[in-house]
Amino acid sequence: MPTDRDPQLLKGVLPMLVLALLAERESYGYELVTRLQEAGLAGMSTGTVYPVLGRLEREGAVASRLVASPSGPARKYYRPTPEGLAALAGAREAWADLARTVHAVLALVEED
Amino acid sequence: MDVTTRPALSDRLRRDAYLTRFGWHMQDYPQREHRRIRDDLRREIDAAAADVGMAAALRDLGHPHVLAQRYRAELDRPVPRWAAGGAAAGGVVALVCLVVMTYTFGALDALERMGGGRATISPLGVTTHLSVSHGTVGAEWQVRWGVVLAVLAAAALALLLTARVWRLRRR
Repeated sequence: MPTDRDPQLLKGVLPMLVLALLAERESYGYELVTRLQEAGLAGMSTGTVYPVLGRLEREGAVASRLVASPSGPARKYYRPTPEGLAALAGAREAWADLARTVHAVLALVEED
Repeated sequence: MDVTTRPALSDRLRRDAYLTRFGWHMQDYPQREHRRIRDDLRREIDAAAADVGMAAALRDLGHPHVLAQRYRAELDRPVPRWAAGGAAAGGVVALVCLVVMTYTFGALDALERMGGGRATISPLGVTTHLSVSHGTVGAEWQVRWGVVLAVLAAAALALLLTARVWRLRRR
């Protein structure tokens, strides 16, 4: 697995990945970043994820609630709204379609 | 439910210093959303600091300028640059003042070399009465409303153009 990913490649799919992880389990911001890192995006940082999370909340794709934490300050947990889940389904479909096309094009070229 | 545990004073100071620098780079961002982002960031920084420490939490966010750029990129619409526009408007007024003062001091110097006397000049339409006698210099300015309005109009034009005010229409 390549370790140095093109940030532009990731930029387009990050909202979808965020929605997917939050659909699996609600998380607060920092926890979400660690989950992305554990999923294989080792270079993911809070500075990259928070703006995306903020936009998703502004657009109504995720909702949030404050939960008290025994180990620190209250944390803002995010979860997808019905609109967010619909957006996730659409993004998943678009991604599958794009991936099929990309694989088909790359298959035309023999790998070294 | 509200915050139950506060970071140490030194950590709060570092966090607030970061948020102040971040706020400086976000000054053109819509104010209401900026406040919401700042509140969210403060909460997330505190939460992350409880897990990994304040230094790591702030380091992971990156430079405040870069973070602000990322937030602007997620806005999906260009916003007017009011801070830059204000600076341009201030620059126009300052330039006019500089020209008038430079012209005035130059004329006073010339008058003194000529042995003194009185003179009236009008740099940029600002009527300036000058007097030099026995080592004493004096200057008096009379500004007509037309000149004031012209300078204000130029400053307003600089503000609107530099701020790219037409971006308001795209909201």
